[in-house]
Amino acid sequence: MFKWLHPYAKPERAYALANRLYLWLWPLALIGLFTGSLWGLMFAPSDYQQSDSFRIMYIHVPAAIWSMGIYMSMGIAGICALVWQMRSFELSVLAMAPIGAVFTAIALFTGSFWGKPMWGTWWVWDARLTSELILLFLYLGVFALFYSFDDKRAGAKAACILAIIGMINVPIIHYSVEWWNSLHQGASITKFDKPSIAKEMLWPLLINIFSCLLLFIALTCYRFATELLASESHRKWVTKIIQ
Amino acid sequence: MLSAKGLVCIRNERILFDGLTFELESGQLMYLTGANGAGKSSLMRCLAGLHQPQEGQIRLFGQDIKDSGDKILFIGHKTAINEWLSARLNLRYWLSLSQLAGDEETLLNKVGLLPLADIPTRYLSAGQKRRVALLRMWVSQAKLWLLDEPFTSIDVSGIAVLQQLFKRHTDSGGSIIVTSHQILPDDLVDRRLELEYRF
Amino acid sequence: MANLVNYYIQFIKRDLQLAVRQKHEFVLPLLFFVLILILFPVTVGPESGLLARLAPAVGWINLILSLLIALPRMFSEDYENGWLEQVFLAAVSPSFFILTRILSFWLLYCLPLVICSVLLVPFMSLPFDIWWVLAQTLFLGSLLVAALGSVASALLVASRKGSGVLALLLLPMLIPALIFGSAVIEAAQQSLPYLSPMLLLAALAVFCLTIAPVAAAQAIKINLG
Repeated sequence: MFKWLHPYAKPERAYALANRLYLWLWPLALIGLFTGSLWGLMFAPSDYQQSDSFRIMYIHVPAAIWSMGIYMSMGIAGICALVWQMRSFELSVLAMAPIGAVFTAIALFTGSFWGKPMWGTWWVWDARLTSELILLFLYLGVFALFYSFDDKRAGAKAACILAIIGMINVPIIHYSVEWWNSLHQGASITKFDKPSIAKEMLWPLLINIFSCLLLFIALTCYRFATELLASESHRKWVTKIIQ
Repeated sequence: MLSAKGLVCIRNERILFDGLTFELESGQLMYLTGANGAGKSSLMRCLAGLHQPQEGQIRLFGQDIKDSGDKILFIGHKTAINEWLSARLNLRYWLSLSQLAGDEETLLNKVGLLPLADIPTRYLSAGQKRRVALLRMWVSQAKLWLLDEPFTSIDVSGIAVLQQLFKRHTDSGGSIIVTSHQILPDDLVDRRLELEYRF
Repeated sequence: MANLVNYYIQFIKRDLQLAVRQKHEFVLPLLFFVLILILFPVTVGPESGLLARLAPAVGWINLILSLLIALPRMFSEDYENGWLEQVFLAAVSPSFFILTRILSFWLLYCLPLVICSVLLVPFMSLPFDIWWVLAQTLFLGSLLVAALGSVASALLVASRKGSGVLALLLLPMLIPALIFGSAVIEAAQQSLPYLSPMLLLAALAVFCLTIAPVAAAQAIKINLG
């Protein structure tokens, strides 16, 4: 793994890779999101129970899936940063954090908007909603920690440690919340089962899930490349690129 | 015994030194000078293994610096003296932290602080506090001493005692790196390193 | 081994000595705890049924909030006077020092609060046998707060941003502990067996006590650099 990674330890190589990935993935993600959403919102058949309000799923589900996924990848990048002491990994943790927070916020808001017609209320203490809300605070903690340092490098390293601890914690929180929710089943309004889904509804969903992943990678690469330029601004290769 | 190769240190977007290389043999004292903010303290912290340089390598007896903490005695700007504890307790806890044996009373007697051994160090003067910290030089088994401004608030007779102590340490094969704005006598200094202030 | 035990005893003794010399700092969380206990009956009314229902939750949340007052100072003094630098240069791994600090913090701040929670019995008409169960969960839970709090406190030791950020880092991590703790109490209130959530809480505490010193040592190292 290290041998394969080693050439990218050089910041200019890492920058070139991130930039190329971004240029390729960004249009792909946009096209995917456009087709998936258009298909889902306009052409997929409406649900016989939920009529049209289920269509928010095409935004909600991808955002919710990747909100957890991004935290995990942040944790893994954090481990790499501490093990190999590579600046690039630290920067990638910082690049991912706001994207993950936005995905989480989108999942929360769309979930709430979906809940209003379905459950008759904006919020229920459902296991998924609760752990999603906690996840948002875990993301915010990473920022808050980074910004409470004067020295950016130290802040980035501290954020890496927090991301790792959070990664260990996310499954514990998730399962304990689920367990808590099952204890209070009587009190909660509904059990939100994943309904079996028709094929015509599934395809656009899958497209959107996949494009959201691409979008995440593209945005991460973009943010990563920018952060890298900013942090290496005194180096020759940066001045060359900027000119 | 100590070698530094290509050290690069960037703190808060400012390059302190870039490609610093030097070697120090046993029995030598290196006198580190430079303007305020030139990076003397940062270099000391790098050498102690507290701060990791952005690039470069520091080796002590051929080993990476990270694994050789106990071969180093580091006395920095912060003296690790707890204001709420007495000189005696401060010394005792430092000894047990470093896993060294030593009698606190005889040590304190060496710097004339025995009568004040049991009052909290916040009632001592700055110079007296520093003396308590510098007592570590009498007991430490470390080969390399990193002393960041050791003479601050020490009086003339104290400085003379310290210089004798330096001599003893280098004669017995130890090495010292010392930063100071005080002029050190030439016969004591084996090597000089001046850090330039850079923008 | 005997050496290590000696090390633990030495440094726990050091922390106790420091606490005795700075009594004013050390009683603050306790006073805060008692004050919050007064605020609750004042705000929700003195009806004893409602108070008894709220009491375990008040005990838990109050414990966590009171510890948030003490946590930012867990390493700050040793950081400012340079003691931590010496700890990192010593031959013994700094994780051991941090473990002693967690234990002494627990002895100095958590244990008094757990004992103080007996005030819930007269103030909020909590039945004594339920308090006994609650105290056991608080005992384990406060170990967990001390362990995870050491990491949060270590991460923020140089930043002087106070307890705001610390709360943001720490509170989400404590949610599993709160869930298990309240499950124990709920079972006890219905006279059901509560051993399994209690054991889960204990397991969580042991797990955190094992990894926290290593993580906190890393965090302090970053702050020293």
